[in-house]
Amino acid sequence: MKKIVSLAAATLFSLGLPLSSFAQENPKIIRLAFSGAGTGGKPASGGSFLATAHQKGEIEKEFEKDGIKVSWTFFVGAGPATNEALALKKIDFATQGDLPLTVARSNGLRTRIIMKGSQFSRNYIVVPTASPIKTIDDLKGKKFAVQKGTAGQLRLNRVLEKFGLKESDLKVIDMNDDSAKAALSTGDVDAYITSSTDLVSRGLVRRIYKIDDPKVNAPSQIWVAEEFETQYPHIVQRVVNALVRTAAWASEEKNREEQYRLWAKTGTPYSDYKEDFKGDQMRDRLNPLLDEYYVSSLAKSVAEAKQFRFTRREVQLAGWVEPKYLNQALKEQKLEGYWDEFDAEAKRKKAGAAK
Amino acid sequence: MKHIARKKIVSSISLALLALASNAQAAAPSTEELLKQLQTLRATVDALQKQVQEQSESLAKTREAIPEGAEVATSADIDGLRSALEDYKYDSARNREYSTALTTRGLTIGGTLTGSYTSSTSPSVASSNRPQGTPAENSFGVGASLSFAGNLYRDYNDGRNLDYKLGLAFSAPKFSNSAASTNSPAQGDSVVRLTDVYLQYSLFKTNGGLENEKLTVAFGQQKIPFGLEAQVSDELKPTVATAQFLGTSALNNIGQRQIGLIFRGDIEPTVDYGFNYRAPLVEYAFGIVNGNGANTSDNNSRKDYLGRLTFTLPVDYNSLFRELKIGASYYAGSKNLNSTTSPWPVLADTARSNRTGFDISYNHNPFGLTYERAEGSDDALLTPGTTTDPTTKRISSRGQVLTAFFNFGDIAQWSKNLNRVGKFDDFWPSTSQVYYRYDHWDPDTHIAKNEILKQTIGYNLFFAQTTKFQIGLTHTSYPNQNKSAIDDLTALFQYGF
Repeated sequence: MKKIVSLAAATLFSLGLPLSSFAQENPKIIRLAFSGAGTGGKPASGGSFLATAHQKGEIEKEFEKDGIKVSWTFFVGAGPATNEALALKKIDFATQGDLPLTVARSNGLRTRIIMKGSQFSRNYIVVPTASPIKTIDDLKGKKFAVQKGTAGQLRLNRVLEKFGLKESDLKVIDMNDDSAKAALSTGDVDAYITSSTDLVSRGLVRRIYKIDDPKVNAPSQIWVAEEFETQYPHIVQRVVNALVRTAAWASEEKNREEQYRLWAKTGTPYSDYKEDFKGDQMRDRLNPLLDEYYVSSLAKSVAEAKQFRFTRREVQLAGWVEPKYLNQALKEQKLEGYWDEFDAEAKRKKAGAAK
Repeated sequence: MKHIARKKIVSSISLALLALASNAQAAAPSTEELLKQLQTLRATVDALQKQVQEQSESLAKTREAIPEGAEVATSADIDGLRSALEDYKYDSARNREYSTALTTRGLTIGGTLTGSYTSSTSPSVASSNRPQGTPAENSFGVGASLSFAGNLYRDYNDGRNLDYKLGLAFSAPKFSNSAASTNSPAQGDSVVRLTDVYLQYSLFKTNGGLENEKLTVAFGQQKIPFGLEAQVSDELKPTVATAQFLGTSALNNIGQRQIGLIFRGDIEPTVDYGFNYRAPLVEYAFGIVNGNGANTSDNNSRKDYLGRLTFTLPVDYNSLFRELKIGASYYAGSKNLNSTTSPWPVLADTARSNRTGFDISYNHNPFGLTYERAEGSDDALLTPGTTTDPTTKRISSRGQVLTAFFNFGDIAQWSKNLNRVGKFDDFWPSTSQVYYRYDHWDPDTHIAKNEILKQTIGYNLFFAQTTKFQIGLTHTSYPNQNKSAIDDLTALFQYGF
């Protein structure tokens, strides 16, 4: 009998079917979430390979044959809403900015960061066109709109700190993107921090400060709920496989225009993405690597969240970033070295390696 | 473009040659003159060629800027767009004038409609809203309310807004003392009465963020801040029915809306922006009201005073103790005591009608627990049948309600975060809820065997943004009394708009 079992095991092993795969259960549904929605609450996102994967149905294609359903949620309440959904065990994967991610961890929510979402974004501080505000110093005492609890708030604090200011020096008003744009165009708020250029092109606002420092604009990330990862590691690997495939497609320059058109389904104009990504290589912006830049940036965000009193408790970094799924996918898809790594200073590690 | 430019060159050369030819016919020019004319002609040709070159370069640059596969709009396309835009502007202006309800100020219209079916083991007695003389053991029913709310002044700087609310509700007709009164509706008529009628002003700024403390003052007819049952939404109260102690024959001054001035505020909110969570450490309310109920003027010179204080544990969203709240309420009321004999004289006009309350709630989605205890202390005439004896006695009463509920499904019904998701269709997450409710009422604690106990088990299905289906079985018993228990089955749809 033993011999028969051993023989069967050996046969299966040689066929590339590890025994464990038979014991692995599949979930009925994989629930992914974006910390944000398109203009006016459109169920779409842009500017990342996860958004591209959603638009192209890449995750659905991966799990179609298994009959596993895939659901996408777009939280208008951004990162904080994603956190509540995680706390209530309503989502399995999500993309988030650094502040809500850090706050969730400090509150005991368990996630594993499996990929970088995007990096090197550009943001601007904008004011109504007719505003007398010209510099960051002029913002003192002015009404500044920001969606509190999001990466935008931490970004604002970093900018203010550069100029020796604090949030309390301004009248910071909590508004989501749609409300802030409306209030800005009617002059009900004095300033806003945004990556979007549509209000500029409509002549409603002008930029007073460009934020293109990679240390101020922290990268976004994609995480999996720890409970899901523990239960379905093979599914996590397949999700990452599909996302790496998409990231590689998205990083190809020949696909740049098509991708802008896909992202424009959010209601953010095509021209916005074109302007935002101008001068950047797609493979730099849509780089999924959990490199030195990412890890040091995460540590910095954690420290700053504490410094600016957004978190009260210590955040443990150990075991949070889990690169094994990404590394496996890169290996399988022969994409090791395809994306450049960046050091803690956001400098390309391989000089002149830009492709 | 190139073709047009070429045509121009050809035309220019032709004209020049024609001019030369006609000149030749008029008088033979000299060689020098001919050379000059040729030079002029060459200069013209060069200039035109340069122009064509520039236009070609400009066109090439424009083409480069056009994304691959994109279509180029022509002036005819733009004219078409302009025309469509003008049509749209005309249509919207016309629709606004003829087909749109306009208001003087910003307005939100809302309401609730209820359709129910009730079956009881105890036949109902004939009353003003039931067919006279034909007790029914089961009945369909309807209910409705309508509200108008908005702001009269909007403060863009600090959010110190002046808001208003007007609420109307369908109610069963009430017969007046006089049959000839116009307030005596015929059988089948309904009465629409005012519920909320108030102005509310935010004394503290409201647009700074969740960490700002709040303080509002509301004047008019409104719900009063006493305990849980009298004021909470279905987030903490799974049943449509309210507690027995709020009934018209019970502690009714806290069970109905009152007319007066009420301040509501909070101190030291715990804010967890990681979840958009806000829980004030202390919430307070105090006010002065007529004490005579809704849509009724006061009948004495004294006012009723009320106050409420609650404490919520200052913990983060993800804490096990999230939304654990303890509250205490007090209502100091006064009332007239009338003789029950005609002409119903007022025998005492300083009678006491006080209420004290304690409540605790733990709302930790997906489960929750509430407990509320309200006690009444009322003066009553010792001999109400006389027209002269003002001697009073004191009646103490007590009501207790315990509710436990568990939510499952999408459990997004009361979460602003989970409800606000980007969707193209009208999809709404569905939430199921099972609940148990213990509702005990002792109308006079000095008298034994007069208590009523209602126990309900039920199920709520929230299957759209504002719609719920509820089914509940209520067992009413009369502890230590020789009275049969009653079972009521109620099923209802409640839909808001």
